[in-house]
Amino acid sequence: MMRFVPPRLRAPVSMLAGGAVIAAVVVPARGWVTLVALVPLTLVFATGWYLLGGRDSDFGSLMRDKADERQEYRRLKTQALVGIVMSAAAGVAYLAALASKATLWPLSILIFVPGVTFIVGWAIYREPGGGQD
Amino acid sequence: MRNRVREQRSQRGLSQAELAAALGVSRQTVISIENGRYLPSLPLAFRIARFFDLTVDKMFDPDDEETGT
Repeated sequence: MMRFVPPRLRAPVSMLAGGAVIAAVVVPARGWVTLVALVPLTLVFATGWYLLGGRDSDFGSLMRDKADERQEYRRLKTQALVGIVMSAAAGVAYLAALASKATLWPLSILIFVPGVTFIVGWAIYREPGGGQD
Repeated sequence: MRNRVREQRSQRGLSQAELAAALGVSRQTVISIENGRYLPSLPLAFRIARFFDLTVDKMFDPDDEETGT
């Protein structure tokens, strides 16, 4: 469906759609007052993303979904760093929750999902007929 | 790895933006390649060499290992 949306508008449109989904989930549980924060935040992020997409820079290319191979490589390295930091943070938060006897299951998901995703990704991204693992 | 991208581009009187448009990459990537901060992929290296009517080994000199991706 996104193929029909201009590249620069894809992320902002996704954000607006995400905001609508969050609103649909949160409003019934917490009331209309949540929209006071959600609507401006969503609009600011979507507009900001769109405006940054107009800049002649690596970040601008990324924002408008027009990254070339170097920018994609930079994005991948950045995402890998985010994954590592998030996993470490989840580990620390899990230990903290364990020590304080807090609810563990949300953090267990944060620990479990990256581990499983790594195994799945390792299997998916092998070259067909490639070397041994 | 040294390359002759800047030299060849200058000889043809092209701007970095024009070369970037011809190669289908960003101007920032052309700058990074010229400065030796980014090693292009093999397909892009071939595109660059073909654009300048040179072979890849004429365009890129592997003997100088000073820079990398």
